[in-house]
Amino acid sequence: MYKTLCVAVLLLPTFALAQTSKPSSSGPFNSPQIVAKGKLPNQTAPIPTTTIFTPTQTGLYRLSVYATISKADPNSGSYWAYTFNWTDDSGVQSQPQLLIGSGPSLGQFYYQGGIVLGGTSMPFQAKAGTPITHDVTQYNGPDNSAYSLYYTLERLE
Amino acid sequence: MYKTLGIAVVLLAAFAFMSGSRSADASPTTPIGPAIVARGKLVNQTAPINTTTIFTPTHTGLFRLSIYMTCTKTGNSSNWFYNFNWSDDAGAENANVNGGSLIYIHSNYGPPSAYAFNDATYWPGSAVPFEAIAGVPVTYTVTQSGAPDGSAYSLYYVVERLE
Repeated sequence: MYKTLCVAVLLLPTFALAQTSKPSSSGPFNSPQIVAKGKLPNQTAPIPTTTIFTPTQTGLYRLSVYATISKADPNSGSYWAYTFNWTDDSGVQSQPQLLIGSGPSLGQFYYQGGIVLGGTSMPFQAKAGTPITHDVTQYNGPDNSAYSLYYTLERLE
Repeated sequence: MYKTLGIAVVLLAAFAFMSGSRSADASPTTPIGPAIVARGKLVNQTAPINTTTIFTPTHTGLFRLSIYMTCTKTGNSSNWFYNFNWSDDAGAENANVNGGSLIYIHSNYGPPSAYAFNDATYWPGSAVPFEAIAGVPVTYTVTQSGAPDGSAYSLYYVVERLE
C-alpha cells in the first residue's frame, strides 16, 4: 500500500512540472503579452539604433513609450528626438521624431507641432524576423541636459 | 491496495482538473491583462468596406481599440479613411480627426511612411479608449476619397475590454 502511495506522491510533482513548463505564448491568447520593456533613466548621451525586439511571428504589436527631460540645461538650445522603426506588409517603416524633448526645459517630451499629450501608445504591424528598433538623437548638442526613457512593447495577436 | 490506488487516481484527476482550469496568464509573476474581445486582419484590400460590426458589448464599460493600417500598393490620387463608430452614455459617437475619420492613408505614400495616421499627432495607427453601451454594436467603415487608383491597404485591429 505504501509503495503505491509513494508512486502517487512522486507522480504529482512530475505532473505539476509538466503543467507549468508549457510555453505561455503557444497558441491563441486572450490578453496582450508584454514582449519587451525598457527603462533608461537620466541618459546624457544619444542612443544609437538599438533593437528592442525581433518578432518570431508576424502580427499586431503596440508600443507604449514615455520620455522626459530629467535635467535641464538652461544655457542650451538642444533637443532630443526619439525615433521608432519597424517593418510591416509595406516594407521598412519609420516614425522619425515621434517624441521630442527640449534640452533647456524640464518635463515630458512633446510631439511634432508642440502637442503635449504625455507618452504615446502606438499600434503597428511587425513582420516576423525583422527587428523593431529605436534611437534617440540629440540636435544642437552636446550640453548638460539629461532625459529618461521608458517603454513597453506588447503583442496583440 | 486497490483502495489506495483509487485515491491516488482521484488525486491525480483532481490535480489535472485544477491545473487545466487555470488561465494561461494566471501565474504569480504574470498579471492578467485586459481581455481581447475582438480582433481583425484584412490584408491587401482594394475596395472600401461598408459598415461592419467589430463586436457588440454584452456589458457597458470601457474598451480600447488598437488599429493599424498600411498602404501595401501605392496609387496616386486617393486617400483611405478608417471611420470608427460606437455608442456611449451620451449616444452615438464617432472619431472625427481627419474630416470624420480616425486615421487615414495617402495612397501615394510608400515606406517609410506608408502607415495611416491622424492629423493631430501624425504617429502611426491609433489606440483609442472608449465607453461602449451593452447591446449596441461597435462598427467601422473604410472609405476612399478620390477616384479608385489601384492602391491597396491592409488593416489590423484588436479591441480590449478594460473593465
